[in-house]
Amino acid sequence: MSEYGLFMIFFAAAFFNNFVLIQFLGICPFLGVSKRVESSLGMGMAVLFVMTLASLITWMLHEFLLFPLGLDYLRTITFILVIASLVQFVELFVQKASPTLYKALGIFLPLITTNCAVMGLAIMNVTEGLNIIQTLVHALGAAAGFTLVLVMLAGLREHLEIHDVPKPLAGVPVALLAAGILALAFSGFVL
Amino acid sequence: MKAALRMIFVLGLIAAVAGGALAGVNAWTAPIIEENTATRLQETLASVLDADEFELQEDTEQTLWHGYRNGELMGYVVRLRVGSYSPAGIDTLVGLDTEGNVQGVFIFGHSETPGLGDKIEEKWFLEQFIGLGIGDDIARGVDVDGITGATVSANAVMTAVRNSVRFVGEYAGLIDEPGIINLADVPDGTYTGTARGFIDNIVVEVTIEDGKLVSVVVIEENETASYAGPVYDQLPQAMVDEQKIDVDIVSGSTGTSQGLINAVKDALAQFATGDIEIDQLAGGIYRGEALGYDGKIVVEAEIVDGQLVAVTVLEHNDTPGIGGVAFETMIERLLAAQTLDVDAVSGATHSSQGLLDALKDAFRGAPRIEISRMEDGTYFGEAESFGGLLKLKAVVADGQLVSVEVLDHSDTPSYANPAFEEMIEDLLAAQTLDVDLVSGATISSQGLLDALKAALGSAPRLDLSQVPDGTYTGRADSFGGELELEVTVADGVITDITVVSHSDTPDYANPAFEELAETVVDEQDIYVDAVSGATISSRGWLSALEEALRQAVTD
Amino acid sequence: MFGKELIRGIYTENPVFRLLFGLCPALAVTTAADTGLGMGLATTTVLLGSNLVVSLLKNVIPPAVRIPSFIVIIATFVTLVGMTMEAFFYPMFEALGIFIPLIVVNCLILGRAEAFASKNTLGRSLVDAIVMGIGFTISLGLLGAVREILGSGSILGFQLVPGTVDMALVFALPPGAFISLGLMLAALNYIAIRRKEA
Repeated sequence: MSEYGLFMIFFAAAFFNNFVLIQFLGICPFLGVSKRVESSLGMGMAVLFVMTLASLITWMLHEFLLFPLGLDYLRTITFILVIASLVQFVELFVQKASPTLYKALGIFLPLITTNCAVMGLAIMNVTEGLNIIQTLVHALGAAAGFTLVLVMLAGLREHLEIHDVPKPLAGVPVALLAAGILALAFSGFVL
Repeated sequence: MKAALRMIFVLGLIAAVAGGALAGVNAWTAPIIEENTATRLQETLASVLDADEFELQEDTEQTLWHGYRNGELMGYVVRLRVGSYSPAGIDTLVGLDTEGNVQGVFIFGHSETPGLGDKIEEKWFLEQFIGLGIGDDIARGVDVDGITGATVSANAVMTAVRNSVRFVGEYAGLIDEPGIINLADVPDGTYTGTARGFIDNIVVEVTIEDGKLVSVVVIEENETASYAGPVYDQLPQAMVDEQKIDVDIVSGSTGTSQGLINAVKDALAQFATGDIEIDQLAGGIYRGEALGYDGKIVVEAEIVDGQLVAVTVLEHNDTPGIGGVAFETMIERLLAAQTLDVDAVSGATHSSQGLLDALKDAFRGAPRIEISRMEDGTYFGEAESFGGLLKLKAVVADGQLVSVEVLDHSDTPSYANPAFEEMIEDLLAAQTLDVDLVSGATISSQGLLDALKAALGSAPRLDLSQVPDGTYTGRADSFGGELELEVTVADGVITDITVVSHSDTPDYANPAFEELAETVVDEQDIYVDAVSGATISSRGWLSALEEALRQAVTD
Repeated sequence: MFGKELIRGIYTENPVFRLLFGLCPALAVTTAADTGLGMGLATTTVLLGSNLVVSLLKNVIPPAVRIPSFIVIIATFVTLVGMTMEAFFYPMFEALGIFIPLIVVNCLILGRAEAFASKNTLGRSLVDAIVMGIGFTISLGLLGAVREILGSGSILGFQLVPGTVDMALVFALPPGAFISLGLMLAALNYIAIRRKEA
């Protein structure tokens, strides 16, 4: 069914249909972790890592197990378990393999389980009938878009912090307004 | 250890109960969901085509339903997916009536940006497609308006409708098969062609050398690079490699692929077999009309033996001084060139083009045969009938059909012979070919009529059976000069043909003459093929032979 | 007693406006009031189910496999709700789309299971699910209503402003979601600050 250019899939996921700003996936970490540019980058890398692996594994589970056996109704339960265990596994692995990387990514990993961008991506890959290569590119695009807007918002928030923001707006409300303006800019891709 | 076992047991139990509960509810809801989906599909199909029963067709290139009302075919519904911003593209349903006109468009599914891309679902946008059909462009700014802020999504829908119309057009046989282009028949050269791609026109240059396609170069285009790139990389190469134009398209870039293929076809269209070739036309009188400079031009053209022998302008409104001269000049050029591909008369381009268009129109129709205008003589013709080839002989004298004789046929005699008799009687009485077929033997009657048309569409021929016994001398121009021969007829049979004198190169001519004489005596037919390698000598010889026998008949 | 709990769910511990839980669906499906309410009800149903089962099993589940067990329980209820909606409330199922399976990653549900239901009695857990669900539903309905009025000039599909008047379409679009929520949070902050000062 889907026979679209890989380039298009990547750019759609990263820009036109940005996972965070246009599709509202991964809002919690977007607001929670976007206080510092450095931590945003860390979160972005962790998401890239988990998104890519989770997409590939869930795609294969769907393609070779759930769909052939007519067990589509177990999709949600399977995918969330895969993502949760994957996050655990990655955390253990990174901790052993590269303590430096663990230091950088470690605290973000548990947050990813409830990052709906990962789950949303996994579901979209199979419902939109992407093949394995398209799935991979879709994951890379989604993660790139996620990291990009996360870092952008963090940059804005770092600046906002040193300015005198009206008290009721301070913190999350002003971050949401900034996100709204970013979303306006991203909507410009389709105009 | 005990704790670990308990952990596994509890988690396993929860998973088992969860799985069981899900399987149970799934068994309950799945049939309901399936039925709802089917009902919704029928309702959706009915929203784009006024029918109450839809039947999914198998083995079609695109998903296709036939729509029926009271058992009568009302039209078709095509479902296809076109690429746009979102990875899954836009899923469309287009309903078309049996003539290929759009009855309704429905967006089956899309994941375009909410608020912008989803404007493609708006009524005003989808309704503007209704009534468009095979002859329409279905393109933004031509017959459909786009959507500000959703250009790409709207264009994708236009492509979907355009492709659906084309698909049904081909599926239902509403679009004529485009002429087949035989690359070997294309003269060397570089040709330019244009066709619409996904977004805009694609212009290509096609180079042919020694009847082979050597290059296809895109010289102008405005396609999306990411989609079109692979098309430009793969298709021209595939065309050159496979030496054909209809190569496999690049999946995902159907619009651009099809555009490129059509542009190449356009470049070579003048050599397509679909074009009019005068020497392939059946004999007879053709009448056609087209628009000239000022109103209608009606022409009549006569074809005899695959030759254009006369063109008459019956009616026109063009400026007499300019138009009249232009017609005369054009007719001269046409008769000389024996093709419609002649230059227009400068200063009277419209009249010239009008004349050509009228001729094209004429030659697309069936010829008419007017017995009263036929030259006196004996005509021979053959056509396919019920059991095989039917051959006949017809005699025209003083503009009247005086006799028709079936020489050979393979139809069942008990049916065919009475039918032939009846047909011939009718034909002679009516003095026109527009007679009713004999019921019960329609195919045989049609065969006779076709053979008669073929006969009267060719030049009259000599009837050997009318040649008295004797030896006759004939002369004609040949390759090196005049050729003279003697032919001997005994008991209505040609027994001997001898060349008395000729000025052709003996090495080539003599063997050819011997071969021709042998064939004519064997087949008792003086209209045989020329000997290859000595064509002009053969023609001279055959002309001299006909001349000799013709004298015998008239003497 | 229940009234006090209700105030907790709707105002003091409002899942969206106070705890910032479930912001993804809160922003995504609130282009209109009806989809916001539909999402709220679907989430409430899952919350009720998961709080019920988690509270019942709180002494059976070993602490080490607590989170995986909760996830399985929640995912089961999400799938059940999804299947039921597809069978009986198809238009709403289609409108909410991918955000139905994504209820599984709504922090509100795992949060209530972990922080409340696994430590409290069945009755209290059910009340908690109901009040939190009502709070979530009201929040989404409110956000949806604001965006529908500003963006389309209608409420629950009923046209308030003549269709000829151009509304601020941006509120129905993604940027409007962020801006509406930001301004509503600011308004709540403003009220809270004023109250503290008073």
